[in-house]
Amino acid sequence: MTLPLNSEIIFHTPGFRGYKTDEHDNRGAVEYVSVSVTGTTCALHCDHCDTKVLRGMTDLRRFDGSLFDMCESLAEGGTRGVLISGGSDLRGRVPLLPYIADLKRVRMELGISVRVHVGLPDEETCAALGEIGLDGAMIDIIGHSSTIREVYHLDADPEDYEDALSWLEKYKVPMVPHIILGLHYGKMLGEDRALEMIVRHPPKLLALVVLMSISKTAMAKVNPPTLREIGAFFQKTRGQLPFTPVMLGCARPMGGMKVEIDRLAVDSGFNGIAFPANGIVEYARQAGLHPQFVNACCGVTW
Amino acid sequence: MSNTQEFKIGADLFSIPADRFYGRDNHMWALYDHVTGYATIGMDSLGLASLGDLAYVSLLPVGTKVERGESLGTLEAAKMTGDLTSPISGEIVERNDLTVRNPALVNQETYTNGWLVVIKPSDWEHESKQMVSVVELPDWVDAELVRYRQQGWID
Repeated sequence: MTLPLNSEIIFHTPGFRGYKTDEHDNRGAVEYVSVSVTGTTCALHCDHCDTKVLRGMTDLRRFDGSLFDMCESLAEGGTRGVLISGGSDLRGRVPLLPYIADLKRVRMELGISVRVHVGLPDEETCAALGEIGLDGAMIDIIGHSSTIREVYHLDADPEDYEDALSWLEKYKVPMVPHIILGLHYGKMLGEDRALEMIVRHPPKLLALVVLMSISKTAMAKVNPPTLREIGAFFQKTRGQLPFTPVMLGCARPMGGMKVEIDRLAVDSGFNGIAFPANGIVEYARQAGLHPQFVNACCGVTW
Repeated sequence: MSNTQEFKIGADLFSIPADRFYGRDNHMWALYDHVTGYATIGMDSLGLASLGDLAYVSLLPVGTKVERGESLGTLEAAKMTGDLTSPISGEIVERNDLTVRNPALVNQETYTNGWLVVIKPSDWEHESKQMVSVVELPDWVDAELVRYRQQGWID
C-alpha cells in the first residue's frame, strides 16, 4: 500500500448529487452547485453520455437573469462554490467566452470558488480563463484518436488535447485534468498516452474516473475495464505523479465494483475520493489515513 | 376516476397506479392487502425518474422493525446515494431479493416485480391517512411534477 505523503485523505461530495451513507450525509447541501450554460444541449452527443450528465445540473437557460445574477442568488442561499459546465459545440468547446465578464464579477464581488468544464478549449478561451482567478479548469484528456472520433464524434486528435494543456499552462489556469478509464467502449486504449501528456504539464491535481455506463446511451451495455486494469493504472499514475494530488473522481461503476475501485484508490495512495462507497472512510482510517470531508469538487478547499 | 395517473417527462411516459398509497415526500408506495393485513412497499416512477437507474439496493433483514420515515434499506442510483425510506411503521416480513440482485428491476417493473419489502403494519389505519390516496393523486402528481422540475430533478 502507498500512503499519501501527509496521510490525509479527503472525501469530496459536491452537491449536485444526493449523498448519504453511514459515514457522511450531504443531503440537500447547497455549498457547491453545478450550472450548465447550455442546459441539456450538446452538439457532440457522445456515445457515453449523450447529454445525460447535463441533466443533473442547474440550467442557466431556465433562470431569469445573467450567470452573475444566478451565482449571486446561489451565494445568498449559502453556496460557496460553483462548477460552470455545459454541452460542447461542434469543435468540442464548452461555450464559456460569453460568460467571462460574469465570472470575473463572481470572483471579485461574490468571492465564491469557480471551477469550469472547458471541453476542448481553444487558445482564446484559455487566455480569457486566465483572467478570472479560477479555482480550476476541468478537462477530459483523451489519448487516442479513435476514441475522440468514435466516442466523442469530434474531429480532433490527442495533440489537440496537449495543445489545450499547453495553453492552460501558458495562461496560468489551474488545470484539473480527468482521465476516463475505459472510455473506448470499456477498453483501455488511450489512457497511457493521456497520462504521459498530463505528466508533461503538471496539473493542480489529476482526477481519474472509470467508465460508468449510462442508460439510454450507445454505451449503456458496455462493461468497464477490469479491477486488475484499473488497479494497475492507479498505481502507475501514483508512481508518475508522486507529488501531485491524485483523486478518484465522481464517475465510476456503482454497487459492489465501486467498493472495490474505492479500495484500490486508497491502496494506491490517492489523496481523495469523490462520493466514496459506504465503508470506505473506515477502510481509509484503518489504513492509517486521516479522513476529511469537503462538500465540493475534488481539490476544492474552503 | 382513472385507475392510473399518467405523466410525461421528456418523451417518456410514466404511470402512477391509483390502487395504492404514496409517501408525500419520499415517493414510496404501499399496497395494502386487506386479507393478510400486510403492505407491499416499493418506489414510485416519479421518484425513480429523478434518481436515474438504480445500480445498487440493500434491504434490512426480515424481522426488522422499522418506523415510518426511517430507513428500510439503501440505494445507489445515477443521481443519489442514500436511504430507502419506509412510508409506514411495522415489521419487515418479506424482502425482494430479486431487486437486490438486479436493481434495474425496480426501474423496469416498478409496480409489480420491482417491489422492495412486505411490511406488517403497526398502525396502518392512522399512517395510511397521512399518505397520498387515490382522491388526492392527480393534484399531488401535478404538484410534484412542478416541484421536481423547479428543483431541476427532471426535465
